[in-house]
Amino acid sequence: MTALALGYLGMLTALGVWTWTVMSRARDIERRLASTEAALGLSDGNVDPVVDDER
Amino acid sequence: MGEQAGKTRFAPVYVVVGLVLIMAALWLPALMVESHDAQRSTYLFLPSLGVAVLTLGLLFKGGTHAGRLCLVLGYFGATAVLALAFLWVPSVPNDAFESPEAQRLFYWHVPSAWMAMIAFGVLFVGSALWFMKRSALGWRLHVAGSEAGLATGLMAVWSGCLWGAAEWGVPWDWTDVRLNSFALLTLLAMVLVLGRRAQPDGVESRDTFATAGLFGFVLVPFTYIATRIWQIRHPGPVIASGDGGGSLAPEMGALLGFAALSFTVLIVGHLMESVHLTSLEQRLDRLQGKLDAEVTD
Repeated sequence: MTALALGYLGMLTALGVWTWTVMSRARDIERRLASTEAALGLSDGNVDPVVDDER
Repeated sequence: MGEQAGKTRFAPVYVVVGLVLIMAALWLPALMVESHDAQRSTYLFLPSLGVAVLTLGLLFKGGTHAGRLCLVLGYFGATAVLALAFLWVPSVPNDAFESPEAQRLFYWHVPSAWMAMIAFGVLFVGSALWFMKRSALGWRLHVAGSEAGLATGLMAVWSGCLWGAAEWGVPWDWTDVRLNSFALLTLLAMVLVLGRRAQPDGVESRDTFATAGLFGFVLVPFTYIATRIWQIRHPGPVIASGDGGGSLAPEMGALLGFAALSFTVLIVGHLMESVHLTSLEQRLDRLQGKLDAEVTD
């Protein structure tokens, strides 16, 4: 039972870390983008540089 | 703009109200009604309904943060599932298990594998869209599907090893087709994630990874039917077995349904957030390119 409880806690922690990592990465990039775009006076919208280059 | 901001501010209210409703639905009947096994499946209908209604609310009213809010809701739902599986439903006697205590892993292992199948489906659709239409959204779906497939595949493999060790006495069986085909799928996701990080982003590298994602999907139906054809170690299906019945007790089925719903909301949130994240990274790359060009000029 102890091993099982540890396994369960590990699973919840792993799920939490994965979820938190995705959210904090998104927040970090949003902040960096907003400040860069504001500094350059740009607003690119949703673009994919590889698709753009191919066109 | 104002309407969008209004939607974004409004959405967290759904999460808070929903969480309160879920907790109330979980615990109030247990306090008020005399405990009886037959009533347990009824209790679980309410939180399942709560999660379903909340998710629809988030998807329609969540605005730009719908994915993030689904993530939070799915995580709380998954936590409730694991808590219930550990503390409540395993009291159901079931002779099908050699190691009755380890049957708690059922509510973690099966939804993880279910999430992995959704993620690999998204990987396939994204790869096909990129390969055939050069769709930017297709590439974002490919990235989201491979990352989610890796994480959920590892969860299913890890829980399977723990369960196998308790139930069979060995964590892995190299002769079992289901185990090995699922491990190959997870390995494919790992190759795609690590390979993409090691290569510069370009049309050729995307074509290569999309091809791997397209052909690798063959393993999904193969994995699904593996236990129907070759039943070596991994047990056959306990639901949707095709013979008109299953071996699950009603309480177990009810919790598994709640688990499937909660974990589906979690993976949908992850996929939406990951697509959003890739889109932001592409914008940042684009800006970096412009800056580099200005410096060069």
